[in-house]
Amino acid sequence: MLVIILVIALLAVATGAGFLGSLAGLGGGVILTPVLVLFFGIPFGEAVGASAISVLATSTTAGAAYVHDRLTDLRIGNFLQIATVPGALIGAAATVVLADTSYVPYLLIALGLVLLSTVPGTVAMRHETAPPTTPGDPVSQRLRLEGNYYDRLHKKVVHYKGQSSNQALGVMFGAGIVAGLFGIGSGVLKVLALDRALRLPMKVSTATSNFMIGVTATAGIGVLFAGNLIIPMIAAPVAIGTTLGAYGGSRLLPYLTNRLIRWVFVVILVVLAVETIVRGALGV
Amino acid sequence: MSEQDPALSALPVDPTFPPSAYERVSTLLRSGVSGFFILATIGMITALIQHPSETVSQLTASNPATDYGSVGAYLQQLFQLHGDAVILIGIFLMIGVTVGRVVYAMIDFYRGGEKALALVCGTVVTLLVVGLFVVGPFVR
Repeated sequence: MLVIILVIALLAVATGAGFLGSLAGLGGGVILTPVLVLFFGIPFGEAVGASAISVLATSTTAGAAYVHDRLTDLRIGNFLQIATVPGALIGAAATVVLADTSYVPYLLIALGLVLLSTVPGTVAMRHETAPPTTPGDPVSQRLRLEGNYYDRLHKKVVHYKGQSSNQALGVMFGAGIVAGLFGIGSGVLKVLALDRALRLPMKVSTATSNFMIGVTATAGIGVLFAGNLIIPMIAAPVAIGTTLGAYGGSRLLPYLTNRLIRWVFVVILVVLAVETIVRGALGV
Repeated sequence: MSEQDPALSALPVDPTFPPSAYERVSTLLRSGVSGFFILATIGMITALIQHPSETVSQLTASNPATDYGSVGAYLQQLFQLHGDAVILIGIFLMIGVTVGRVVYAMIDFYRGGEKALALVCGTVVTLLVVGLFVVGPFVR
Protein backbone atom coordinates (compact mmCIF):
# COMPACT_ATOMS: atom_id res chain seq x y z
CA MET A 1 0.00 0.00 0.00
CA LEU A 2 1.23 3.50 -0.84
CA VAL A 3 1.81 5.89 2.05
CA ILE A 4 -0.51 8.49 0.51
CA ILE A 5 -3.39 5.99 0.66
CA LEU A 6 -2.49 5.13 4.24
CA VAL A 7 -2.43 8.82 5.20
CA ILE A 8 -5.87 9.45 3.67
CA ALA A 9 -7.30 6.32 5.31
CA LEU A 10 -5.76 7.23 8.69
CA LEU A 11 -7.15 10.77 8.48
CA ALA A 12 -10.63 9.40 7.76
CA VAL A 13 -10.60 6.71 10.45
CA ALA A 14 -9.03 8.96 13.08
CA THR A 15 -11.59 11.69 12.35
CA GLY A 16 -14.38 9.15 12.86
CA ALA A 17 -12.78 7.86 16.07
CA GLY A 18 -12.35 11.37 17.45
CA PHE A 19 -15.91 12.31 16.48
CA LEU A 20 -17.56 9.28 18.06
CA GLY A 21 -15.18 9.33 21.02
CA SER A 22 -15.99 12.91 21.92
CA LEU A 23 -19.74 12.30 21.58
CA ALA A 24 -19.45 9.25 23.82
CA GLY A 25 -17.51 11.24 26.40
CA LEU A 26 -14.41 9.12 25.85
CA GLY A 27 -11.31 10.11 23.90
CA GLY A 28 -11.09 8.53 20.46
CA GLY A 29 -7.56 7.44 21.34
CA VAL A 30 -8.85 4.40 23.16
CA ILE A 31 -9.79 2.68 19.90
CA LEU A 32 -6.89 3.93 17.79
CA THR A 33 -4.18 1.50 18.89
CA PRO A 34 -6.26 -1.62 18.13
CA VAL A 35 -7.54 -0.14 14.85
CA LEU A 36 -4.00 0.67 13.69
CA VAL A 37 -2.76 -2.81 14.58
CA LEU A 38 -5.75 -4.86 13.42
CA PHE A 39 -6.83 -3.03 10.27
CA PHE A 40 -3.76 -1.16 9.06
CA GLY A 41 -1.09 -3.72 9.96
CA ILE A 42 0.95 -1.12 11.85
CA PRO A 43 3.36 -2.81 14.29
CA PHE A 44 2.13 -2.67 17.91
CA GLY A 45 4.84 -0.31 19.21
CA GLU A 46 4.45 2.19 16.35
CA ALA A 47 0.65 2.08 16.77
CA VAL A 48 1.06 2.94 20.46
CA GLY A 49 3.38 5.81 19.49
CA ALA A 50 0.90 7.27 16.98
CA SER A 51 -2.00 6.91 19.38
CA ALA A 52 -0.05 8.64 22.17
CA ILE A 53 0.61 11.65 19.91
CA SER A 54 -3.09 11.85 19.04
CA VAL A 55 -4.00 11.68 22.74
CA LEU A 56 -1.61 14.57 23.43
CA ALA A 57 -3.06 16.67 20.59
CA THR A 58 -6.68 16.04 21.59
CA SER A 59 -6.04 16.70 25.28
CA THR A 60 -4.13 19.92 24.52
CA THR A 61 -6.98 21.20 22.33
CA ALA A 62 -9.70 20.46 24.89
CA GLY A 63 -7.42 21.47 27.76
CA ALA A 64 -7.06 25.02 26.39
CA ALA A 65 -10.84 25.52 26.60
CA TYR A 66 -11.27 23.88 30.01
CA VAL A 67 -8.41 25.88 31.55
CA HIS A 68 -9.81 29.08 30.05
CA ASP A 69 -13.19 28.36 31.70
CA ARG A 70 -11.38 27.60 34.97
CA LEU A 71 -12.98 24.18 35.14
CA THR A 72 -9.55 22.55 35.40
CA ASP A 73 -8.18 22.37 38.92
CA LEU A 74 -4.53 23.29 38.31
CA ARG A 75 -3.62 22.58 41.94
CA ILE A 76 -5.01 19.02 42.00
CA GLY A 77 -4.03 18.24 38.40
CA ASN A 78 -0.42 19.22 38.95
CA PHE A 79 -0.27 17.36 42.26
CA LEU A 80 -1.58 14.04 40.89
CA GLN A 81 0.87 14.06 37.99
CA ILE A 82 3.48 12.89 40.46
CA ALA A 83 1.74 9.49 40.23
CA THR A 84 0.71 9.30 36.56
CA VAL A 85 4.08 10.32 35.11
CA PRO A 86 6.19 7.53 36.73
CA GLY A 87 3.41 5.09 35.76
CA ALA A 88 3.55 6.27 32.15
CA LEU A 89 7.34 5.97 32.06
CA ILE A 90 7.10 2.37 33.27
CA GLY A 91 4.30 1.52 30.84
CA ALA A 92 6.03 3.08 27.83
CA ALA A 93 9.35 1.47 28.75
CA ALA A 94 7.57 -1.90 28.82
CA THR A 95 6.15 -1.22 25.36
CA VAL A 96 9.60 -0.33 23.97
CA VAL A 97 11.07 -3.52 25.46
CA LEU A 98 8.22 -5.82 24.40
CA ALA A 99 7.22 -4.26 21.06
CA ASP A 100 9.34 -6.54 18.87
CA THR A 101 9.13 -9.68 20.98
CA SER A 102 6.88 -12.71 21.13
CA TYR A 103 5.00 -11.00 23.98
CA VAL A 104 3.01 -8.78 21.58
CA PRO A 105 0.04 -11.21 21.53
CA TYR A 106 -0.14 -10.94 25.33
CA LEU A 107 -0.09 -7.14 25.04
CA LEU A 108 -2.98 -7.38 22.56
CA ILE A 109 -4.97 -9.52 24.98
CA ALA A 110 -4.26 -7.06 27.79
CA LEU A 111 -5.29 -4.17 25.53
CA GLY A 112 -8.53 -5.94 24.68
CA LEU A 113 -9.26 -6.41 28.37
CA VAL A 114 -8.53 -2.73 29.04
CA LEU A 115 -10.97 -1.79 26.26
CA LEU A 116 -13.64 -4.03 27.79
CA SER A 117 -13.02 -2.52 31.22
CA THR A 118 -13.86 0.96 29.88
CA VAL A 119 -17.33 -0.17 28.74
CA PRO A 120 -19.11 0.14 32.13
CA GLY A 121 -17.69 3.64 32.61
CA THR A 122 -18.88 4.62 29.13
CA VAL A 123 -22.36 3.17 29.59
CA ALA A 124 -22.95 4.57 33.05
CA MET A 125 -24.52 7.99 32.94
CA ARG A 126 -22.68 10.10 35.45
CA HIS A 127 -24.75 12.53 37.43
CA GLU A 128 -23.67 15.70 39.08
CA THR A 129 -23.99 15.44 42.85
CA ALA A 130 -23.13 18.01 45.47
CA PRO A 131 -19.44 17.57 46.37
CA PRO A 132 -18.54 17.07 50.03
CA THR A 133 -17.29 20.16 51.82
CA THR A 134 -15.95 18.26 54.81
CA PRO A 135 -12.17 18.44 55.28
CA GLY A 136 -10.26 15.80 53.33
CA ASP A 137 -7.38 13.62 54.50
CA PRO A 138 -4.28 15.29 56.04
CA VAL A 139 -2.42 15.49 52.71
CA SER A 140 -5.41 17.09 50.97
CA GLN A 141 -5.70 19.60 53.79
CA ARG A 142 -2.00 20.41 53.92
CA LEU A 143 -1.76 20.94 50.15
CA ARG A 144 -5.13 22.72 50.00
CA LEU A 145 -6.54 20.31 47.42
CA GLU A 146 -9.77 22.25 47.04
CA GLY A 147 -11.26 24.83 44.74
CA ASN A 148 -14.31 26.39 43.11
CA TYR A 149 -15.95 26.37 39.72
CA TYR A 150 -18.90 28.19 38.21
CA ASP A 151 -21.80 25.88 37.37
CA ARG A 152 -23.38 27.54 34.34
CA LEU A 153 -26.45 25.29 34.48
CA HIS A 154 -27.36 26.17 38.04
CA LYS A 155 -25.78 29.61 37.84
CA LYS A 156 -23.80 29.32 41.06
CA VAL A 157 -20.28 28.94 42.37
CA VAL A 158 -19.61 25.40 43.63
CA HIS A 159 -16.96 24.83 46.27
CA TYR A 160 -15.34 21.42 46.71
CA LYS A 161 -12.68 19.81 48.90
CA GLY A 162 -10.51 16.87 47.81
CA GLN A 163 -11.02 13.87 50.09
CA SER A 164 -8.79 10.81 49.80
CA SER A 165 -5.58 11.84 48.06
CA ASN A 166 -3.70 8.59 48.78
CA GLN A 167 -6.34 6.49 47.03
CA ALA A 168 -6.32 8.92 44.12
CA LEU A 169 -2.54 8.68 43.81
CA GLY A 170 -2.74 4.87 43.69
CA VAL A 171 -5.37 4.84 40.94
CA MET A 172 -3.45 7.52 39.02
CA PHE A 173 -0.27 5.44 39.09
CA GLY A 174 -2.20 2.53 37.53
CA ALA A 175 -3.75 4.90 34.98
CA GLY A 176 -0.27 6.10 34.05
CA ILE A 177 0.98 2.56 33.45
CA VAL A 178 -1.99 1.72 31.22
CA ALA A 179 -1.61 5.02 29.33
CA GLY A 180 2.10 4.49 28.70
CA LEU A 181 1.71 0.83 27.76
CA PHE A 182 -1.07 1.29 25.19
CA GLY A 183 -0.81 4.94 24.12
CA ILE A 184 -4.29 5.74 25.42
CA GLY A 185 -5.49 8.53 27.68
CA SER A 186 -6.80 6.30 30.50
CA GLY A 187 -9.38 9.00 31.10
CA VAL A 188 -11.81 6.50 32.60
CA LEU A 189 -9.32 5.58 35.34
CA LYS A 190 -8.29 9.19 35.93
CA VAL A 191 -11.88 10.33 36.25
CA LEU A 192 -12.43 7.40 38.63
CA ALA A 193 -9.65 8.69 40.89
CA LEU A 194 -10.90 12.27 40.79
CA ASP A 195 -14.58 11.35 41.03
CA ARG A 196 -14.57 8.53 43.56
CA ALA A 197 -11.39 9.05 45.60
CA LEU A 198 -11.11 12.84 45.71
CA ARG A 199 -14.89 13.22 45.19
CA LEU A 200 -14.60 16.24 42.93
CA PRO A 201 -17.60 17.49 40.93
CA MET A 202 -18.05 15.71 37.59
CA LYS A 203 -17.17 18.71 35.40
CA VAL A 204 -14.01 19.43 37.38
CA SER A 205 -13.04 15.72 37.26
CA THR A 206 -13.44 15.61 33.49
CA ALA A 207 -11.53 18.85 32.87
CA THR A 208 -8.73 18.00 35.32
CA SER A 209 -8.42 14.47 33.93
CA ASN A 210 -8.08 15.97 30.45
CA PHE A 211 -5.37 18.33 31.69
CA MET A 212 -3.45 15.42 33.20
CA ILE A 213 -3.83 13.20 30.13
CA GLY A 214 -1.54 15.54 28.16
CA VAL A 215 1.30 15.38 30.70
CA THR A 216 0.92 11.60 31.08
CA ALA A 217 1.00 11.18 27.30
CA THR A 218 4.11 13.38 27.08
CA ALA A 219 5.93 11.15 29.59
CA GLY A 220 5.12 8.11 27.47
CA ILE A 221 5.96 9.86 24.20
CA GLY A 222 9.44 10.78 25.46
CA VAL A 223 10.23 7.12 26.08
CA LEU A 224 8.52 5.90 22.89
CA PHE A 225 10.36 8.51 20.83
CA ALA A 226 13.72 7.52 22.23
CA GLY A 227 12.71 3.91 21.62
CA ASN A 228 12.15 4.63 17.87
CA LEU A 229 8.41 4.02 18.06
CA ILE A 230 7.15 7.41 16.82
CA ILE A 231 6.82 7.45 13.02
CA PRO A 232 5.91 11.03 12.03
CA MET A 233 3.98 10.07 8.88
CA ILE A 234 1.73 7.75 10.89
CA ALA A 235 1.43 9.93 13.99
CA ALA A 236 0.57 13.17 12.12
CA PRO A 237 -2.56 12.08 10.23
CA VAL A 238 -3.82 10.16 13.27
CA ALA A 239 -3.36 13.17 15.56
CA ILE A 240 -4.86 15.66 13.10
CA GLY A 241 -7.82 13.41 12.29
CA THR A 242 -8.64 12.60 15.91
CA THR A 243 -8.46 16.22 17.00
CA LEU A 244 -10.59 17.48 14.09
CA GLY A 245 -13.12 14.72 14.75
CA ALA A 246 -13.22 15.49 18.47
CA TYR A 247 -13.68 19.20 17.71
CA GLY A 248 -16.49 18.44 15.25
CA GLY A 249 -18.10 16.12 17.79
CA SER A 250 -18.01 18.74 20.51
CA ARG A 251 -19.65 21.29 18.17
CA LEU A 252 -22.40 18.87 17.14
CA LEU A 253 -22.98 17.45 20.60
CA PRO A 254 -25.82 19.82 21.54
CA TYR A 255 -27.77 18.85 18.41
CA LEU A 256 -27.45 15.07 18.59
CA THR A 257 -28.97 12.39 20.76
CA ASN A 258 -25.98 11.59 22.90
CA ARG A 259 -27.41 8.30 24.15
CA LEU A 260 -27.61 6.59 20.75
CA ILE A 261 -24.08 7.63 19.80
CA ARG A 262 -22.82 6.43 23.17
CA TRP A 263 -24.23 2.99 22.42
CA VAL A 264 -22.78 2.98 18.90
CA PHE A 265 -19.39 3.71 20.42
CA VAL A 266 -19.85 0.98 23.03
CA VAL A 267 -20.65 -1.57 20.30
CA ILE A 268 -17.51 -0.54 18.37
CA LEU A 269 -15.51 -0.75 21.60
CA VAL A 270 -16.76 -4.26 22.41
CA VAL A 271 -16.24 -5.57 18.87
CA LEU A 272 -12.71 -4.14 18.80
CA ALA A 273 -11.93 -5.52 22.24
CA VAL A 274 -13.09 -9.02 21.31
CA GLU A 275 -11.23 -8.88 17.97
CA THR A 276 -8.07 -7.70 19.75
CA ILE A 277 -8.29 -10.49 22.33
CA VAL A 278 -8.97 -13.14 19.67
CA ARG A 279 -6.09 -11.95 17.47
CA GLY A 280 -3.83 -11.90 20.52
CA ALA A 281 -4.93 -15.40 21.54
CA LEU A 282 -4.28 -16.65 18.02
CA GLY A 283 -0.86 -15.01 18.11
CA VAL A 284 -1.60 -12.88 15.02
CA MET B 1 -15.35 34.18 27.04
CA SER B 2 -13.06 36.81 28.34
CA GLU B 3 -11.88 37.97 31.71
CA GLN B 4 -15.04 40.13 31.84
CA ASP B 5 -17.19 36.98 31.80
CA PRO B 6 -19.39 37.58 34.87
CA ALA B 7 -19.55 33.87 35.58
CA LEU B 8 -15.78 33.62 35.92
CA SER B 9 -15.41 36.87 37.82
CA ALA B 10 -17.81 35.46 40.44
CA LEU B 11 -15.23 32.83 41.36
CA PRO B 12 -13.05 33.44 44.42
CA VAL B 13 -9.44 34.09 43.43
CA ASP B 14 -6.75 31.59 44.41
CA PRO B 15 -3.68 33.76 45.15
CA THR B 16 -1.40 31.05 43.70
CA PHE B 17 -3.43 30.77 40.50
CA PRO B 18 -5.04 34.13 39.72
CA PRO B 19 -7.17 34.41 36.56
CA SER B 20 -4.09 35.55 34.64
CA ALA B 21 -2.42 32.19 35.37
CA TYR B 22 -5.34 30.35 33.77
CA GLU B 23 -5.24 32.67 30.77
CA ARG B 24 -1.51 32.12 30.37
CA VAL B 25 -1.80 28.31 30.44
CA SER B 26 -4.77 28.37 28.08
CA THR B 27 -2.93 30.59 25.60
CA LEU B 28 0.15 28.37 25.83
CA LEU B 29 -1.89 25.25 25.07
CA ARG B 30 -3.76 26.91 22.21
CA SER B 31 -0.52 28.16 20.64
CA GLY B 32 1.10 24.75 20.96
CA VAL B 33 -1.68 22.81 19.33
CA SER B 34 -2.08 25.41 16.56
CA GLY B 35 1.64 25.24 15.84
CA PHE B 36 1.48 21.45 15.78
CA PHE B 37 -1.41 21.47 13.32
CA ILE B 38 0.33 23.85 10.94
CA LEU B 39 3.69 22.08 11.08
CA ALA B 40 2.22 18.55 10.90
CA THR B 41 0.09 19.48 7.90
CA ILE B 42 2.98 21.15 6.06
CA GLY B 43 5.28 18.24 6.91
CA MET B 44 2.78 15.62 5.81
CA ILE B 45 2.13 17.29 2.45
CA THR B 46 5.84 17.89 1.92
CA ALA B 47 6.70 14.26 2.69
CA LEU B 48 4.02 13.00 0.30
CA ILE B 49 5.37 15.26 -2.47
CA GLN B 50 8.97 14.23 -1.75
CA HIS B 51 8.21 10.48 -1.61
CA PRO B 52 5.12 9.91 -3.78
CA SER B 53 5.73 6.20 -4.30
CA GLU B 54 6.84 5.23 -0.79
CA THR B 55 5.05 2.17 0.54
CA VAL B 56 3.83 1.46 4.06
CA SER B 57 6.29 -1.41 4.52
CA GLN B 58 9.16 0.94 3.60
CA LEU B 59 7.81 3.48 6.07
CA THR B 60 7.60 1.07 8.99
CA ALA B 61 10.85 -0.75 8.14
CA SER B 62 12.97 2.35 8.54
CA ASN B 63 11.76 5.09 10.85
CA PRO B 64 13.10 8.36 9.38
CA ALA B 65 12.77 10.04 12.75
CA THR B 66 15.53 7.88 14.17
CA ASP B 67 17.66 7.70 11.05
CA TYR B 68 18.82 11.24 11.65
CA GLY B 69 21.30 9.91 14.17
CA SER B 70 22.27 13.26 15.63
CA VAL B 71 20.83 16.69 16.26
CA GLY B 72 23.08 18.08 13.50
CA ALA B 73 21.82 15.55 10.96
CA TYR B 74 18.26 16.28 11.99
CA LEU B 75 18.70 20.05 11.63
CA GLN B 76 20.21 19.53 8.19
CA GLN B 77 17.10 17.59 7.13
CA LEU B 78 14.93 20.27 8.67
CA PHE B 79 16.65 23.05 6.72
CA GLN B 80 16.09 21.00 3.56
CA LEU B 81 12.38 20.93 4.52
CA HIS B 82 12.31 17.17 4.91
CA GLY B 83 8.65 16.35 5.63
CA ASP B 84 9.27 14.05 8.60
CA ALA B 85 11.63 16.57 10.17
CA VAL B 86 8.95 19.28 9.93
CA ILE B 87 6.33 17.03 11.57
CA LEU B 88 8.80 16.27 14.34
CA ILE B 89 9.18 19.98 15.07
CA GLY B 90 5.40 20.08 15.55
CA ILE B 91 5.55 17.12 17.94
CA PHE B 92 8.45 18.68 19.86
CA LEU B 93 6.46 21.91 20.08
CA MET B 94 3.53 20.11 21.69
CA ILE B 95 5.86 18.28 24.09
CA GLY B 96 7.55 21.60 24.92
CA VAL B 97 4.20 23.25 25.61
CA THR B 98 3.21 20.43 27.95
CA VAL B 99 6.49 20.63 29.84
CA GLY B 100 6.13 24.42 29.82
CA ARG B 101 2.77 24.33 31.56
CA VAL B 102 4.22 22.22 34.39
CA VAL B 103 7.12 24.68 34.67
CA TYR B 104 4.61 27.56 34.85
CA ALA B 105 2.79 25.75 37.67
CA MET B 106 6.09 25.15 39.48
CA ILE B 107 6.90 28.88 39.34
CA ASP B 108 3.37 29.84 40.44
CA PHE B 109 3.50 27.43 43.39
CA TYR B 110 6.94 28.67 44.39
CA ARG B 111 5.87 32.33 44.21
CA GLY B 112 2.75 31.47 46.21
CA GLY B 113 4.95 30.01 48.96
CA GLU B 114 3.68 26.48 48.34
CA LYS B 115 7.04 24.78 48.27
CA ALA B 116 5.74 21.20 48.54
CA LEU B 117 3.66 21.57 45.38
CA ALA B 118 6.51 23.43 43.64
CA LEU B 119 8.71 20.45 44.47
CA VAL B 120 6.08 18.06 43.06
CA CYS B 121 6.06 20.00 39.78
CA GLY B 122 9.86 20.12 39.71
CA THR B 123 9.94 16.35 40.14
CA VAL B 124 7.42 15.90 37.31
CA VAL B 125 9.52 18.07 34.96
CA THR B 126 12.62 16.09 35.91
CA LEU B 127 10.80 12.80 35.25
CA LEU B 128 9.65 14.02 31.83
CA VAL B 129 13.21 14.92 30.88
CA VAL B 130 14.55 11.65 32.33
CA GLY B 131 12.00 9.72 30.25
CA LEU B 132 13.21 11.31 27.04
CA PHE B 133 16.94 11.28 27.65
CA VAL B 134 17.52 8.37 30.03
CA VAL B 135 14.68 5.82 30.20
CA GLY B 136 13.98 5.73 26.45
CA PRO B 137 17.57 5.33 25.25
CA PHE B 138 18.28 2.87 28.10
CA VAL B 139 15.45 0.47 27.26
CA ARG B 140 15.82 0.80 23.48
